[in-house]
Amino acid sequence: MFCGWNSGPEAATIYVRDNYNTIQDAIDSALAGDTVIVREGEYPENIKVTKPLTIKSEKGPDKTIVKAAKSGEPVFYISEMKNAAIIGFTAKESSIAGIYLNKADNIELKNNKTPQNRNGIFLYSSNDNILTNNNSNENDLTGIYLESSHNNTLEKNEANSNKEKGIFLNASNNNNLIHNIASRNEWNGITLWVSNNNRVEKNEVMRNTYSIVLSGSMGNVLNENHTWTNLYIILPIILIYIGVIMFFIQRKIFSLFYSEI
Amino acid sequence: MTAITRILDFNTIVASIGLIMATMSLITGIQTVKQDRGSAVMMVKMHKLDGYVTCQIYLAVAVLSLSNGGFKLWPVIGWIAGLVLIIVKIAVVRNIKFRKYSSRLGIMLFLSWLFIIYQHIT
Repeated sequence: MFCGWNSGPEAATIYVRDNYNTIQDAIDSALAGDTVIVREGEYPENIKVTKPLTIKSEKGPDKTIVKAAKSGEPVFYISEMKNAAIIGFTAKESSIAGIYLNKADNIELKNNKTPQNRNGIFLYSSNDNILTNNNSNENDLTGIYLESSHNNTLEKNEANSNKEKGIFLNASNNNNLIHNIASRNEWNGITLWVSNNNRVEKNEVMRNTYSIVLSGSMGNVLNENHTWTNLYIILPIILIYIGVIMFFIQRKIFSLFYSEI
Repeated sequence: MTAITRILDFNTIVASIGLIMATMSLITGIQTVKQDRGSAVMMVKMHKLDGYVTCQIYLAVAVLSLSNGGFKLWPVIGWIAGLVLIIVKIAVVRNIKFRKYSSRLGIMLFLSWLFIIYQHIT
């Protein structure tokens, strides 16, 4: 056993770059239920998570960056397993996805940033997962994409400035989308495509071409979402109008002190 | 009303005040150019005041934007370019030989405020 481990009868804690040089080596050596803590730095890897582990960064996503070593594979790939957590990473530069859940259930994704991928976070046939405080901005396709994935909770995530859609649910039912921000995407903010009985509440969906799009979807609940597609046109016009009024008021005030006009 | 309250974050408010002041500054600038020098004293005073306040707001928005978004290369270049434009405008207005270009620079400053607003709306 490595001396850096808090070994005991319960779960061990493994530190990457103390005990192992790569995150993948740490995962391969860990036992189910262990925690892998990753020190700050850049890690060129494609990580496959195959065991129920908690993998988290020590200093948050800004200082712990995982770049795809092979761009044709996801940065984090979690497949056919349950009960894992990925917390506090930046996962980028994959032409598939920053974080890819394939038939994975009860996974927690928290405080991650997934920019500059094809898709930020991609759930395929994955159920009962919790995505909170993730930041999936500036991806080539979609910020957060759920396909055939049910009973997931997406809360307080950001999916902004993606080249197609912010949050896209495709054939996915009974998901909760609450307090997310999906703004400035080139097409839709939130899309429900053949997806039923989802709850979309209190999301901020600004400055997309289309805010919230439902197609072939039934039984969805949409409440208190903030949408204003043309705000960036309306607001400057209002402000210029106020500026003109303010000019006349200012001129009136100044003319009290100057007699030229 | 909820959509309106959502856009009232501090950066947007400060940038919005900046665009209002830039509009006032543009109008007073145009009025100054249109009127002859003798009757433009009041407009010159108004233009100076508006320009000064707009410049202060520009600096405030720049500091807020860079502190929130981080000191990345392109935003820093953009803000410095805007500041250079302001300085050149002031220098041109003060130089009789180049004063004829001042209205063009004023319009450029106003357009730069439109861009700032576009970038800072929620």
